[in-house]
Amino acid sequence: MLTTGSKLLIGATVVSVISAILFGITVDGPGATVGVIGLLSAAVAFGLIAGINVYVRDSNAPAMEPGVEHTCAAARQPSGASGWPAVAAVGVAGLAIGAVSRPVVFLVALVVVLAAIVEWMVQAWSERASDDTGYNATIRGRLLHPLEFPVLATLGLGALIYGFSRIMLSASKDAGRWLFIAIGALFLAGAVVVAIYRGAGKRTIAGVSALAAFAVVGVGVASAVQGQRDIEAHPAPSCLSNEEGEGDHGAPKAPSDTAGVYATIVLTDSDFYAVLGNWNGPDKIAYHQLSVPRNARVSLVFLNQTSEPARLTARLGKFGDAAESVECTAMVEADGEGYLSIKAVNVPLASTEPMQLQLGGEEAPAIEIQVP
Amino acid sequence: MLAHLPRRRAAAALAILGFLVAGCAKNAPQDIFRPAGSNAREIDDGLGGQKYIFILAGVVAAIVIAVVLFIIFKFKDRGQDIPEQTHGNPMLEIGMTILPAIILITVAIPTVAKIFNLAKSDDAACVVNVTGQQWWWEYDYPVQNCGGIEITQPIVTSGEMVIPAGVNVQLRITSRDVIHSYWIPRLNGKRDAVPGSLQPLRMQADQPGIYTGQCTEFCGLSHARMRQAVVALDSDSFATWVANQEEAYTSPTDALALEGEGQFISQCARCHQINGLTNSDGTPVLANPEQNLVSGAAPNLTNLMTRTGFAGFTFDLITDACREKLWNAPSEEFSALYLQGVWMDSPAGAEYPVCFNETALREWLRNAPGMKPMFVDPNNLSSTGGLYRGMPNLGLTEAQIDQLIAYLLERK
Ligand code: HEC
Ligand SMILES: [Cu+2]
Repeated sequence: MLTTGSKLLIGATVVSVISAILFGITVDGPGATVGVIGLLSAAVAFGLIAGINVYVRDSNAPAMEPGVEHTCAAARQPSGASGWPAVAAVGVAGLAIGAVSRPVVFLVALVVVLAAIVEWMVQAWSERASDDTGYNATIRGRLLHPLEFPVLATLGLGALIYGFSRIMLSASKDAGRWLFIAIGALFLAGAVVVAIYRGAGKRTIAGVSALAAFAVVGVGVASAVQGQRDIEAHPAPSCLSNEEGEGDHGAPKAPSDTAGVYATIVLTDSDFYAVLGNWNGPDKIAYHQLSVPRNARVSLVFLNQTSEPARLTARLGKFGDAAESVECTAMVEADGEGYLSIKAVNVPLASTEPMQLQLGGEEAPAIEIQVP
Repeated sequence: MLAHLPRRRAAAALAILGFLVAGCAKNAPQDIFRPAGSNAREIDDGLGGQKYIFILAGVVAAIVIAVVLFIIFKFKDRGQDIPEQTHGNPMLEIGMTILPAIILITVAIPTVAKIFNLAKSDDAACVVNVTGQQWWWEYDYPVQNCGGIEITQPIVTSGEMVIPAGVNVQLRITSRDVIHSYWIPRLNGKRDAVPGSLQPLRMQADQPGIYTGQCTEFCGLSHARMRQAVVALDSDSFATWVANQEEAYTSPTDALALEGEGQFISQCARCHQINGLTNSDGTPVLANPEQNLVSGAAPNLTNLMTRTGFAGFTFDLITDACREKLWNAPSEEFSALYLQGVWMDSPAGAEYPVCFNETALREWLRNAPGMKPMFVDPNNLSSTGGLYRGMPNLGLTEAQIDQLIAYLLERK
């Protein structure tokens, strides 16, 4: 009698040969040769192993012992039903759904099918490995745990983090603050308790942790269903206006990065000028033109040293049919600072509008932008 | 003696010897131990200077290596008894903590002082913006009084930065694509060029001369071919250089060069700017590098022939003999020679009668990516949305190249 393993290998050999023939007939082009060679190599390899397997009868039964094929491990019935075919079936259904709906569904289903196949194969193999069930479980674990644990841990953590993020998104700003203070405190308290009562059973801790995890995921799902809180959209300030608008609120007031500043633009009651950054030259020369390298983003700091609010607007040119490129700070209060990063993509000669720094919509005073 | 050593040991010994011998090279233009300006001297000299720290570190290294070797050979397992096992030796441990701490503190105090000295910028009398991109450096000079010389229009050049000798120049370094690093070993330390940020670096050269360096932050395919130089000129020569850079464009009169101008407008002007160049109807010819290149910039070629190298200062615009002559010129003669550039007199007996290295420039125009690897395969630009990284092979004919060379020769 042929053992199950031998049958599988003979089957694989036959399938490889048939595929090689079909592949050779149907596929054209440079890939065809490689494909046929690959499939034929597989056929040869399978054939060889099948031959050895038939000869040694799966290596686990002395071939001469009469009736051994009914008693050896490989011939025993699997010890129980396996759930993996069911999972694989769900996966295949997912493949079909994914094929007509969204690629991501298809991908997930593919992973499920592959995982199910691997799990199923290893389970079937391990259950026949010996007639000691404990040993069988051990070798199954040795093979699959390095794969299963990281995946399960990732999924579990992912669910936790996702739950958390949903809670954060739906809680209001103020509630969120208290919520997280409370959660943090709870965590700390729990840890302290565990640390003090060393005797607390493993099971108790695991149980409490699991409960907490379920709570987070549960509340997370609930929050996700409820939807996230309204997050205000900040409209951009309108650059060519000197009126304070909605976009001028909530803009950062004090720039934090002053080391990398390309130039400081100063507005006083009598003057509007640029001082080059990173250069405390002899007398901090006040320039009325500013040369910026083309296509390089540079940062400006705006100092409003007057008693009125003001806006720094950079008109960065109108090239061809594209709209004029304009960037600006929010309204900067009296004696305040603003921050602006600008990029001039082409030279002023190519622009149909002047390229300059100005105050909101006013064309003068201005600092000419030069782009070498 | 080497013959008696096993082959592998001999090879190792030879390699080490090679390194040592390389350290003795006389013509090492990027030798940090030959400072040529105040900043490099600040790094090199005085308490906490690299010279002394190098020696100190060398002594420490020698002691450590000697002890390790001693222990390796002394206590090698020859089947002897296991020595007495002890745990801990407080005196030794405290001593070996305190001694390195003292050494490090001794090094740190003057070093930190030096860092502050090198960061000063209030004595800088000139400012140059330095912008890195794959794989060349651009320099632009804003309108200013640069060490006593008025710059009245912005100047832009590439590869070689020309500065007045003896003047503290403030560089303001940034990048258009990835991080690069600017380094002229004989003039100052390195400074990273980071997109969106502006890094300061001081430059000063005592004497007229050429000081070379290379990009020192791995920046992609042709990182190794991203070189740079600082050229220091005496004050008068610098003024001449500035005046020349600001000179108005003149259309060629020579017929071949005139055809070259046409070729340039049709083949090159979409990337390269030549200031003052106009179409036949008088409208300015303006480059659109932002529509052709990932970095959004290509070298400005208005005064190409005032440079001595090109394409990231990797290839020479002057022949080898003339480069030798220029680089080895005494500092009193250097400025004048540099201003002559490709029109320098070729040294007697040189292989070529003129200094202009036509071969290299022709080769560049014939097939730039063949000389310097760049991402310029027109069929493989999907990841950059059709933009090139570098100069593509434009498939020019030899006749077109003749015209372009004639035209470029007048960009002086
Ligand atoms: C697609 C854009 C593009 C076009 C078109 C183009 N170039 Fe370039 N060119 C570049 C870039 C980018 C560099 C810098 C390459 C480097 O050094 O890494 C360069 C470098 C050069 C240099 C060296 C300049 C220097 O100072 O280092 C010369 C000379 C040159 N090109 C000439 C030409 C000529 C002549 C043409 C027309 C026949 C031309 N280029 C067309 C992009 C272009
Ligand atoms: Cu680089």
